[in-house]
Amino acid sequence: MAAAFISVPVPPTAMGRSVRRLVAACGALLLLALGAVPASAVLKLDVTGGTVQPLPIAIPAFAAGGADSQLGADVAQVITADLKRSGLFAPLDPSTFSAAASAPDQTPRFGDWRILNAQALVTGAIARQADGRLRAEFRLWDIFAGQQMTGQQFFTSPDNWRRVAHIIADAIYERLTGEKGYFDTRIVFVDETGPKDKRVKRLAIMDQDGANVRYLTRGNDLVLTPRFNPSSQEVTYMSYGGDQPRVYLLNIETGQRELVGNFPGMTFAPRFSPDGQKVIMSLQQDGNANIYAMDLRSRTTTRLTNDASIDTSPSYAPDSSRIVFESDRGGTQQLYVMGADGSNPQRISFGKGSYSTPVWSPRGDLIAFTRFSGGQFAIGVMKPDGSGERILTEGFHNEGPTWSPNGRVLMFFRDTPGANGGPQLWSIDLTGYNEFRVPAPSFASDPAWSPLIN
Amino acid sequence: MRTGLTVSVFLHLILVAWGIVTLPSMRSFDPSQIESVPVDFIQIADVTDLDKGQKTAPLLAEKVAEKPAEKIAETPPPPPPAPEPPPVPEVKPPAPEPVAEAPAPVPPEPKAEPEPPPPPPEPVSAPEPPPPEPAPPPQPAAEAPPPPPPSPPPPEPVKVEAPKTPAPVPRPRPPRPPVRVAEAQVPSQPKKADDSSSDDLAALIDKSEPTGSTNTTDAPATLGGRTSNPDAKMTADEMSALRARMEGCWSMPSGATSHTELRTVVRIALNEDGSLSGMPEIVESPSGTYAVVAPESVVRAVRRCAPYNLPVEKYGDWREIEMTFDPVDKLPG
Repeated sequence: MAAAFISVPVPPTAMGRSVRRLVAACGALLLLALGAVPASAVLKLDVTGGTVQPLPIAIPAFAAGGADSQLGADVAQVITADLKRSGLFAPLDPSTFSAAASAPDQTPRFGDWRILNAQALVTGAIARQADGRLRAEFRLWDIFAGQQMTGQQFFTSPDNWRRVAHIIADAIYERLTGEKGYFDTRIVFVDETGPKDKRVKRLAIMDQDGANVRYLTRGNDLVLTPRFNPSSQEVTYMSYGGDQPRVYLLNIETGQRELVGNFPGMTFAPRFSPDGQKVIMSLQQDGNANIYAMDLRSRTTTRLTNDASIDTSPSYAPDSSRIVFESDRGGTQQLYVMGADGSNPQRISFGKGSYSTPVWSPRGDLIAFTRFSGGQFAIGVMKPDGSGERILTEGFHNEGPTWSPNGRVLMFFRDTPGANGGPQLWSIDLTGYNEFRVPAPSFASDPAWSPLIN
Repeated sequence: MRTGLTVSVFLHLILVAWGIVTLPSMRSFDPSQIESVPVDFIQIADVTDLDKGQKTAPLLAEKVAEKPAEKIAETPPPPPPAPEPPPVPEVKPPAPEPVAEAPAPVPPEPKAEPEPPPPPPEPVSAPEPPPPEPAPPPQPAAEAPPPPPPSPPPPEPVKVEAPKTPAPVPRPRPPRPPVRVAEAQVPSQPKKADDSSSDDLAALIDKSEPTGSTNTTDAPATLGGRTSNPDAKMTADEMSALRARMEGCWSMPSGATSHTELRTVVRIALNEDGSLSGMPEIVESPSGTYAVVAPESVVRAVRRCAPYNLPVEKYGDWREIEMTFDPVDKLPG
């Protein structure tokens, strides 16, 4: 009857408290006597938790005419693999789909899919156009509600079908999670072949799922730390082109290479600013390393730190207002955040061990890092003020995190000991539960995630 | 060495001798028998949540109740004419005013007219045969008079249904009666208009009886009981069981960093069998990235959890539930 008490209206007059209480009590008694609860008494329930179970989704093969039926299955397979790797979806086994995949212009029989416990369904079709192009369309259905959630169609050249599949996977991801996807992206990395003491390191690029590998350098020079330009098909990296390492720019489409700046000492750890107009990096002189920013248009350089320590691995916040970097000015390698003009550096890492390779999330809410402590390398994240530190994975050697463009997943490389060991690419999401190896042709290190391709 | 050995042998012999003498007379270790006490866990609400009794209610004889119920099913066909008249009257009396109904019923059914006069008395005798609900029918008659006020809404329907559903008589629940009425009316109305023959009426009664029998909710006045108390409240443990179930069904959007980004309030209406009645209604949804996705995930959870297995006798409490999904436990930030 508690609800009944609450619902008794007490006139807000100047009546004394006792009088009001009396009235309330009388009202409550009256209600009790009537034995009736007001119709407005709704049972209230607070649900303060939920699961992080992946969403069951059914993705039957896309309908396709005759010779393209294999392609229809392949498109569905690429979408399935993308969504599954995100850790947020649990694609159902296609062999359980008794219902023939319905064409995207028909409403599916939701009852058939409900039996399989699917919560979402993707139907699609591909067809060749008269001009030779491929038309792909899909619809995403909410099975419980029996409604279409989204639907799109695309035209592309037939050999571009994987990209279309990734774009569809992004659309599904965005519609169901509320966040931007990251499947239509590429990874630039250092491909490593040959024996451990004589590795050939080539710059390479591939789709985020490991397909379509291309090599960008021949392997004559040692290459390290490639980084994507957030706004164009351009990469910056460090290479031992001559006697000492230098920072270069490379246009992926044309293969054109250019030296960044003309400094007396060695330059390393380059990274683009969020707008792609600047490169920020370290310059070593007299045993110290300081951080410089260079404007790519005007070619002017600005010195941002000036002290007798090694400052390196700078990374801009997505709004370009601040920079996180690592420095040994306090005795060990730790993370610091300063203004974009080098002002007011503040140490943010205070855990056990040393911290390195900080990278600011594209969402701005977190900074990823490598931590070395107790003989183990760990990949973790913390807030820009240093609070909320979380270790996502730890082991013999994990290093060099790079963010997916939506700030939900990190890719890094993991090395294994032994003569036959070598680095491999791995990805892990922010929950720390979904860890996957990223397929690469051979050993691979130093991954850098591209922005969404437009 | 020698002496040591002899001493040892001597002492051992003494020990053995002592054992032979004393051990047999020792008390045996009999475990005492402890009687086990059976323990049952019951819900306190089962004991404390009682119906309020009414003095006017007659004592229920369960045996009586059962018999009539059986008869009902069989009776309809053979004695249609005879039984029908009585039932009609019963209803009418309780059912508020004959005035409003009078016009409609009279023309089609001649019986209606004669009945008016003998309402209260006749019902008592007649009720037993026709009533679908065993115990209820007989009693209602006696109580009938008081309830009238609440039942006014279903005036017209009452006539037709009267025979079948003595239920309307009951007092407590205002919402229920109307529902049935509506259903019952649909089939019955047309027939009335067409013919007033007794055969048709019999057919009507046959149809309606099954529906009447399923209605257990509209109970006549009783002296109190542990079931069908419209005011019965869900207990704390029942609520936490429901909460745990909802949390298991809710797959939260995973990207959020603070619980406020997902806070969604949804209102659901349930049928008595625990299934959802109608669309879940979003009362409050968050703003920002998850403005669309969070409510969708909540609706999915609510649908996924259905049907809800909740105590039927407390349906009055959970027929409508307002759930607030706010994952403070998972995302305290």
